[in-house]
Amino acid sequence: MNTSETNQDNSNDERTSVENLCMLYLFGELDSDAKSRFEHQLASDPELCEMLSEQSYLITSAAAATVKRALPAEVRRGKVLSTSGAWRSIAALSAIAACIALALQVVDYSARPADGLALNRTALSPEPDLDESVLIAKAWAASQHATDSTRDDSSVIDDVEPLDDLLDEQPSDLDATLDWIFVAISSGDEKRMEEGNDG
Amino acid sequence: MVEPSSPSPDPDDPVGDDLGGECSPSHQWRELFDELAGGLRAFLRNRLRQESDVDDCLQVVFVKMLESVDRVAPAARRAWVFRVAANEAAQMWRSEASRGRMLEKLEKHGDEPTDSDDPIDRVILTETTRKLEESLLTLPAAYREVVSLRIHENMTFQEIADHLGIPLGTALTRMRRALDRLRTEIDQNHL
Repeated sequence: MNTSETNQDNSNDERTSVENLCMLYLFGELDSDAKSRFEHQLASDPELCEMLSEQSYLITSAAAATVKRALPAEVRRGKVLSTSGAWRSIAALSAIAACIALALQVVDYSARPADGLALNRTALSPEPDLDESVLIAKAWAASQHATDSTRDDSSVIDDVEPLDDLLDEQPSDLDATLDWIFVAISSGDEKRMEEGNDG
Repeated sequence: MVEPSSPSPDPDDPVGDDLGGECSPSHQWRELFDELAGGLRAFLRNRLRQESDVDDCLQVVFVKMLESVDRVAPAARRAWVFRVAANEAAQMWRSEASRGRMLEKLEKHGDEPTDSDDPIDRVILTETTRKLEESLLTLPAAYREVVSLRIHENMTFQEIADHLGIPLGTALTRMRRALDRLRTEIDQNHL
């Protein structure tokens, strides 16, 4: 290697070193001492000024030329990820809620007696074919009977028949379209007769 | 002229950005200006003959910083500030404008050319940016990655080197070569 090549290599190395220094300064990566030295040199070195100016132009150009490919800041900092995380959380909570509902349903199902009526009572199936007017009438009749009798309220409560029993006692030939008041009266009369018999 | 090194918060700021705490963009710009004031002054003294022109130019640079709060990627802000300072110094040098004329011009044409509202300027800017972008795309992916990590992810060169498992010098070299490619493109196309 001859002298001129050596000088050129040294010159290139020096330029590279100065370019690196300018880059580090423009990116704010020089420590305070190096920064002070650089700025002091800047005041007295026109070539360094030119190089800094050129580097600043190239860096801003690079920033402009690559801005389209850059991800938005909120994506880079995980906001979108956290948003999708929120959706995942909602989905997980929904799944847990569904599991709990299913478990409760299973518990409810297993706690019921294994008769035909209970088998029909699931959360997803409608109530068995009850005649609402009949139920209301029987309840009304029971309350009338309690009012008429001399027994206290606790005995009335004790005498209240379970709903399933009421359903079982429902006459099969009862016309479901009857007015509920007639049913109530007849039911009340039955109760009174039973009391009379008991007495 | 008073040096705008520590401007007070603008009470007329409509969005309260200046009062919005230390993380607001305008606050970041002010901190940056304070940090760079010494370097900017040294830089401008090399380009302008009178100290008053240096002060004027600093004032203009500061105003443009505040006008461009959200337009420049944080990592490129120092470079942008020096670019604006260089442009302003060149304009002052060419026109040898007085302080009054300079400020008057700023009031009429406050934006630098890259922020022009002129549709023709915008077309030219878009075309220039497209060419530079194409030029960067011809670089090896490893070089472009360093550019992206440094400018848009705001990682230091040491962090980039650690992240990529390469020496610090290699990270610097890749960045420098990417900038060299841009320089060539700019020189060849007179951008």
